[in-house]
Amino acid sequence: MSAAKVLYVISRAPYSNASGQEALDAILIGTSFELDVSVLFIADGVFQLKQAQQPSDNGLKQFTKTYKALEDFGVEKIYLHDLSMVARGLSESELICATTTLDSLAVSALIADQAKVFTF
Amino acid sequence: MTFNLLVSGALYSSQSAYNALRFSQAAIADGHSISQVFFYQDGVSQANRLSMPLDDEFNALERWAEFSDTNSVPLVVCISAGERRGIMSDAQAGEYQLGQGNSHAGFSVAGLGALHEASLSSDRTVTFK
Repeated sequence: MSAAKVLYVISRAPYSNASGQEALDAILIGTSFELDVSVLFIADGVFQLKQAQQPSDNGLKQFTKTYKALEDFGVEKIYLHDLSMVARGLSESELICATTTLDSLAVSALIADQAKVFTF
Repeated sequence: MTFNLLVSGALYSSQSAYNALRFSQAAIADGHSISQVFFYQDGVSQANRLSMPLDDEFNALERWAEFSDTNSVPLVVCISAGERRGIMSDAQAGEYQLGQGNSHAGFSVAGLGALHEASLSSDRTVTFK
């Protein structure tokens, strides 16, 4: 039997809340199971991947560095909703890790293709 | 169909408990079952046994306990999310020498592995923010 497809959807910006940190915790636990893991950044979630974050200047932990390490945990399917990125004035060259950009239809197809979806 | 619930909205401030309970009751009435309710992120506050809403307000804690008893559905609080927010069992509070805990006896404590196990053995996972 092939591994179950599990998608983690990240939809909030970093630092204003702990959602991203706790989504990462869940993803890392998920990688310890035999799963086919995908991660999708959508809506304000695209801000999680913006380069040049400097939270530690203000005493916060820069947990977003861990997104770059996801590949080391076997997570290779990292997706980003293109419209969410463009609407927030971001471009792919400003992101801290490589992602596959998807249009809205492809996002629907990605979600429909999953066995389980966790939304953060 | 078997549903596994992920509740991440805060007690009182959010409507996540109300929505999750209504969903569960409708699902059970329709012949489906709920395998587990996992409380994560701000959802861990739902387990605080010291919460005391006004008499005419929705009492999430009482409703969760009653729902769990009636339908034998385990209520599970994420250990790390709970500790970060000061929701602990007596055993956890004792470990940190913090005196008594504040989580309701109807809720157990487990790690994120329990969320994934319940999710993988259920047909659907539904998130209530």
